[in-house]
Amino acid sequence: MPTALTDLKETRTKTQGFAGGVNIRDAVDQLAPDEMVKCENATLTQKGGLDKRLGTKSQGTFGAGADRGLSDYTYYRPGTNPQVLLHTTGGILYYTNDPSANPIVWTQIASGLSTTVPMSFETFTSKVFFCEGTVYASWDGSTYTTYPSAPLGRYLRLWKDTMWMSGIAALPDRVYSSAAGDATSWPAANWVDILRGDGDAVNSLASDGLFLIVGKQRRISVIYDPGLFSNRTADYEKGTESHRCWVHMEDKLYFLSRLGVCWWQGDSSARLISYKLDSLFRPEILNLAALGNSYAYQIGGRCGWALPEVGSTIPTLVIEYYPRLGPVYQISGNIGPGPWVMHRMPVATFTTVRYGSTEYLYGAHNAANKYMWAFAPVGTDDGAVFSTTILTGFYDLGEPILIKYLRRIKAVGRGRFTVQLKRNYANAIYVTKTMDFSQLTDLWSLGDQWGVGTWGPDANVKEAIVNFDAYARSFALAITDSETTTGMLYLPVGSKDYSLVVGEWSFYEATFDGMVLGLRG
Amino acid sequence: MNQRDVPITREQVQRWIDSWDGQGTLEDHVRSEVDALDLPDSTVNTFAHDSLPDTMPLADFILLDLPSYAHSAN
Repeated sequence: MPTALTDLKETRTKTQGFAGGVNIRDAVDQLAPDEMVKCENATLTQKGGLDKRLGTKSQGTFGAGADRGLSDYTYYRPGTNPQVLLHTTGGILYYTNDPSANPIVWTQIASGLSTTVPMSFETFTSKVFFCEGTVYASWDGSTYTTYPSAPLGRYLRLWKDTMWMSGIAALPDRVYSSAAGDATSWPAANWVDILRGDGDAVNSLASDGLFLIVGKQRRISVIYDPGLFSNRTADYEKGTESHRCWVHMEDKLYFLSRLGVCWWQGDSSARLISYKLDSLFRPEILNLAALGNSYAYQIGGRCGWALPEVGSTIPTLVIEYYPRLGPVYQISGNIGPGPWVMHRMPVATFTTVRYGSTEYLYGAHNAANKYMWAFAPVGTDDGAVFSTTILTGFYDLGEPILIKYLRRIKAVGRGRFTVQLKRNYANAIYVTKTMDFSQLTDLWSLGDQWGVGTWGPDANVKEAIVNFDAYARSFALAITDSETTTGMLYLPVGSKDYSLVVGEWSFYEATFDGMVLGLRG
Repeated sequence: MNQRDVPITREQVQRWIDSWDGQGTLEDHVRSEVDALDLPDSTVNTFAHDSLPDTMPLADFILLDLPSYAHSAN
């Protein structure tokens, strides 16, 4: 029988941002405070902040209705516009002078090409050279030239002023080299077998500048002397999955392996950087047989890999990496592995095009003969609504045993989205609330005859308080939306603020305000 | 000689293959074409290759790559 009453203990806990990214490896009760169980269709535009990602916009169609993009490439030409080349499942290679046009005008370069093997491209001696196992050819912007006596491989890489090729089915270990400085001439003795007869096949060529990197599914070797073809194995444990999944970003080189995305170390085994996504790289989730069709991109401060999920040979899931948001080690100054997010967007191949004052990311649609502008300033994917899915870890407000009364949440953000509360590690949605930071003051001028009310999403970050009136031992926030517009982010640059188009909403912080109750239920 | 010093292009080898009239074997035909070049050094350094000796006759080395040509020895 109680003999005395005590005041309930007030509790307030603030989230710590979301720079930890998505973590599907760790048990849900073990996540760090800045990690998320789910983070799909959101970007980490600023450290700690989540933005809904921008949408994708169709730039028109190519070929026949059943055609899909296999690979694409930006062919830069000094003093004039770059061309974008697109190889399709129709066996056709197209080019366009202006991928920003809508619709894009595609002109055929060649037909009768492979309908399944993505073309590999390299620019050298002012021409773009390409191969896909049935042809080796060049294009100088107006003339298509084939080289019938060249080896017919699938992968090309330029290294040390020389074109290198591999991927001949009958000679799976063989790497060829053109004459130095001349990718049109292939000497008969310029070849070497890498890890000959090991039961594996070369599936990618890359370079870190120092070495020619020769990737197979189970191991990676390097050719370190282009004159003598001297080589050695650099990684005995990790292999590569796709020629198009090597990404240079700042001082690092990344690639896709069976284990996940790795950071190339040069003279020692590569380091896995996608360990928070370990559970993804399973045959029940990804189509391992189609990982060769995976495709990587790099735009701004992030890079991503489009991967085929089970049931699809074409990439359906994008994992995106933020190397600059990793932890900084103060003694060495090094940056550790950064956070990841995921996207589901209708783009399967990628190429970044920088021309004049613009830099955009384009790619072929994964389910239509459309060419897309990825992360375009639109709020839909090819006109269709897409939702963001966020699920945080569970917060117990520092008290894992006792039930809490969650009075309200004070949030910092922008735009409008839906916040749902899950409790006690259960999957059911407990409470649903709309978080609305949209414009609170009339943007119309005072002289307007009409314009009462609000107008448009507000670029300013704001606070909002939503009453939840909920009881639980632990809480998780699930965030979703059905918005179809874009928002603005004011980026301060000294005395001037630049407005940037970003996703419709942002979520930076939530403060839980409640009370710790007794042990219940 | 080193591999890059070999003065034979794939185009040349392709011509030899295309000129083979079916008499004897293709390998012998290619060997005779290499011999006809009368190169001052007829061996090639292959120390960068697994499972090959440090040097080998140039014709033998070129024959190892015949499957990559439009008409192989098969």
